[in-house]
Amino acid sequence: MPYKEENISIAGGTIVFAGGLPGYTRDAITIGQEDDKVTIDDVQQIQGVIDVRRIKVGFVVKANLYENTLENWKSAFGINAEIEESPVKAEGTRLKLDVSGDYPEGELIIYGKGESNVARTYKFYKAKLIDRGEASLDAHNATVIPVTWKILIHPDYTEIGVIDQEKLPT
Amino acid sequence: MKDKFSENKVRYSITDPYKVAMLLCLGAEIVERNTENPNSIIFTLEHEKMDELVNMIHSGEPSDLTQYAKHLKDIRDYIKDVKCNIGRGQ
Repeated sequence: MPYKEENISIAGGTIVFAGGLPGYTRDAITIGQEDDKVTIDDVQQIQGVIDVRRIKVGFVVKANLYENTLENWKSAFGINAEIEESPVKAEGTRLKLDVSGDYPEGELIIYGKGESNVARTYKFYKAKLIDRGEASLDAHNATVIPVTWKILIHPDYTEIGVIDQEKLPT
Repeated sequence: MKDKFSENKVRYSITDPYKVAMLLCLGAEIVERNTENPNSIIFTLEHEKMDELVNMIHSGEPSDLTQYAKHLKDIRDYIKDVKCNIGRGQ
């Protein structure tokens, strides 16, 4: 039903990627679609566009990670080494900048809100963190790590993900 | 499944281990585990303000998730045990 004020939702979301929590994000978490299309407009008999057909489609999720943790650095920069105890500092940690291996991959879940304040969960079965911007070390602003996940096809499912909704428990 | 009991605690049943771990961080307690389907174990949690806890997670404003990794590990270990025991026919 249209024109219902409660269908307008203003809310953030909580991200879980590969079981881990990236934590706070700055600005909006965005879910977008990247697709390729072919436009059929070159028939001789008719001017104008006959059809526009989608030939490829994919989803992309973007966020600005606001928590300057080693876990976020490891995930964002695709570092496969594990965070370990520092050999040089008691109670310190070390992340070796391992430049081997592929982008980090796993299930991507976003817990958000839908219309009428329902709890909405976006679950993408297989996502790969394929892109990241530059993490800045700034005396006047917080460190932000912009990241992009590409949603992939999971071999066990026909769909790439689901959106589930439920009313808040009462 | 959501029920309200005389103690004013609200129950909330889910299979999502990540959400269970977050709710445990926020003060909910697991009161029941349904292992009929070991590949989709249903955890029932309880808290007086369960709606507020779930709302926090879905609004991106959970108050304290510092114990998330520990709770998730415990849940995953439990799920693994259940599946191992099923495999042994227990």
